[in-house]
Amino acid sequence: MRKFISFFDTIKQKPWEENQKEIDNLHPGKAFNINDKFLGLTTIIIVSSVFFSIFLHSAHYREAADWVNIPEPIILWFNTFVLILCSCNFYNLNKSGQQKDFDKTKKYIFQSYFLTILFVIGQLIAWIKFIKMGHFISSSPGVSYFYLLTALHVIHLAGGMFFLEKTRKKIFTNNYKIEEIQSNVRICEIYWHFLLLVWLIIFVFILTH
Amino acid sequence: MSDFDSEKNYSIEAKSSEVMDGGSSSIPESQIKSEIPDQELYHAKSFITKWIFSQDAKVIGIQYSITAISIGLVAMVLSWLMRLELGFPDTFDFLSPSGYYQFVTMHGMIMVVYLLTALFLGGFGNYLIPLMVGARDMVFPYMNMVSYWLYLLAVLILVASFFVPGGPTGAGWTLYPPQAITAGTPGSNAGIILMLLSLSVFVIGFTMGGLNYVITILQSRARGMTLMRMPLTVWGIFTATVLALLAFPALIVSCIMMTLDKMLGTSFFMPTMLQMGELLEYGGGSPILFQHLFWFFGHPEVYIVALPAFGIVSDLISVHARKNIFGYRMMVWAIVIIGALSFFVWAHHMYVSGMNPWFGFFFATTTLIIAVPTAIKVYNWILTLWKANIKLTLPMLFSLGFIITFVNGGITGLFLGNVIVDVPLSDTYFVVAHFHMVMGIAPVLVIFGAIYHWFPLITGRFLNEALGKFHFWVTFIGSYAIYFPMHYLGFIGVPRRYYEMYNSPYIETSAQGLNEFITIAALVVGFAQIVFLYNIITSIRLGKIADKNPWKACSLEWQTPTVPPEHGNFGKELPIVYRWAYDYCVPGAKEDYIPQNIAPSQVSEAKADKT
Repeated sequence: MRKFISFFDTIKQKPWEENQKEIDNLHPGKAFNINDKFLGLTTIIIVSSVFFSIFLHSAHYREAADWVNIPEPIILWFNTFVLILCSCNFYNLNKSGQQKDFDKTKKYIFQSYFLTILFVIGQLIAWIKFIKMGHFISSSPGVSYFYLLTALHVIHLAGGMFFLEKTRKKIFTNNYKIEEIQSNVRICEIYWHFLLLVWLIIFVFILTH
Repeated sequence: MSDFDSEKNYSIEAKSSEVMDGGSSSIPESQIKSEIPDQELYHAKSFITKWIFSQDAKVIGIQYSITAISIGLVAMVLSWLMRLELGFPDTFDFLSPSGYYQFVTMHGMIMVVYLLTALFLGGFGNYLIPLMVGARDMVFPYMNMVSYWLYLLAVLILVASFFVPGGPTGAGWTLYPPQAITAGTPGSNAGIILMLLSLSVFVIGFTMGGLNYVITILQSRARGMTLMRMPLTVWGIFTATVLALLAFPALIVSCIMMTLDKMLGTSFFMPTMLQMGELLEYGGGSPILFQHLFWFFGHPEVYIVALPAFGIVSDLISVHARKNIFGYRMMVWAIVIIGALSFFVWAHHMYVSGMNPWFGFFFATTTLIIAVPTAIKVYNWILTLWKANIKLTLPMLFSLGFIITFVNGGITGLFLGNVIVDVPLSDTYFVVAHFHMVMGIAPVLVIFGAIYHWFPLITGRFLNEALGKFHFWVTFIGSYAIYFPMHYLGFIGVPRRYYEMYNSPYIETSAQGLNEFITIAALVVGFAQIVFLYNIITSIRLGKIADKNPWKACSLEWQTPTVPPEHGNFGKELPIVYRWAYDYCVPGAKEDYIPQNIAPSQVSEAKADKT
């Protein structure tokens, strides 16, 4: 029977005792029975959640003084829709990967590229609209946060695209291990869902401030 | 890749206490295999891929160490220049007030971030983690290599700031806005921008490295190496890395926002302010916000440096006193508790920033609570030494020096942690003496001890003992000669950060004599470090040849088939771990130590009945 033993139970072990030794000698040397890359992704998600939440927290702190409401161009709704579509696409991408239907996977990879780039272009249009409305980065603190958070979100997307591109190259060389592709597409899917969540939080922040 | 269902390939069904509940099992020892599917390593073919763009964690560790020590030497020279200014004001033409602030800033920043953090986590972490947990390499060797090169880039950007117009920033290592980026502060243009850029690059590089350390420790240990069998060094580095991964985002966030304030005119941290009678375009920003962000990073940073030092010194004491570490579990708990608490004490650096007194009261309480696990650690080190077979080798001398220095610096921390006691002592030399004792000298003594300890592993030779003794005594006594008098300077109210006291009637004239004494002591201690470097450089080729495992240590890094360990660390077969790392002087055993990879059947005569 599998049972996850918590960190607190682990650090209560007495490694020097005879009966504990017998249990410990069989320990496989892994804390979690998951892929290293997947654990890496988890760590990255934790670190970048801390990163974004510190920004939002500082915005909350900063709000007290000369805050001016952030304008909400309609294009942001469109961008949100595109990113949601992109996430759905990644769901299919992962599903096709798990079903080992790699021809479909290739198709979905191109679709996700398209949607992600569409989102980035949409964000650029939002920036241009802001500039046309006369909201520059130094105009008001809310607008500064808008530029900053959207830029950092896009940088995170670019990081994801880098990894997706590595996976794409692997699929197209036909020299790959099936499990590796499967775990890679699963990682991409989770990462994009995470970035959708981050964007939704940023979007709600823009709408409510 | 060992994937989600690779479990079924294991030769025996693993029954681990961490992932599964440990049912009693009676599998014969001979059937235990080090089953982990071997990592695919990148095998270097040319000189460049082997030694320069290396993916071998050991080489990367050495690269980190060399870079960190080189930039640390720059910081040491800067401290000399500062001391010359303070000890003998108006004597040297090449020293100026703005130069003094730049030296202070760069000295602080280099020592804390680019030397101590990089050396403990990047240097010792890379070299020791895979060896100590029984892995062939880090889990993501390529990312590990990128981590080093980003660190080097960060160091180069930092060095470049010495050569830009206006020189490096002189805002103090805390870089508080608004003064850090307004005219009048040395290096408020190019200097501060390069500093912020360098810190950001450092954080990105470190996050890549930190990912490796954490995942390697969690996922690629040898069979039998449970978390509670790991040497405390690994526990210290592990917890410190987790702290760093959670704390460094606060630093990079504040760096990004301050860069925008400087370059694009945003007002995240910049209040409405006049400069030479003119209203600046900034407005509404909060300098206190920066202080919160900075110290939310800055306080865990103290423990990012201290926890690896705690871990390493525990191992050094245990090996050189031939005794298992007293209260191993308590040591692990203390490391974890200190790590967790370190996120709730940051505002004790800000008592005089005008905060609500109740806020200060909360942070004073949490700060004093940290003293409890820390004191437990000190008691455990002393109880390990109690009735132990103490060998006064160089690592042991440095460890003993560490304990005394750490207690010393820790106790002054209790004073500073109390709001009311802190207010008069704030911004005096008492603070300077405190933090140099506790996070300067104490971790540095551990670093020296660790270098003397692991040098035979890295090079196969000992460092020269006589030069080492000279190095130890001059460093140890010399640093007390430097920092003890500083406490008294603090008591009489000499403020820190002033490059010269001029004619201040409230300060006794004897303070100047004390300053001269401190300066001379600092120059002598610095000289001892140069002797130490000479010792390292000459001993690499000419040192006394060490046997395999010369200190008779139990942990895995000494059990490699070749010394120094080669690429892949453990030859054909990964080791299998049968015991914790502290089986010293086990009753009945022939030798006074039993390495971790020795099976019980090989030492059947040993009957451990320890508690």
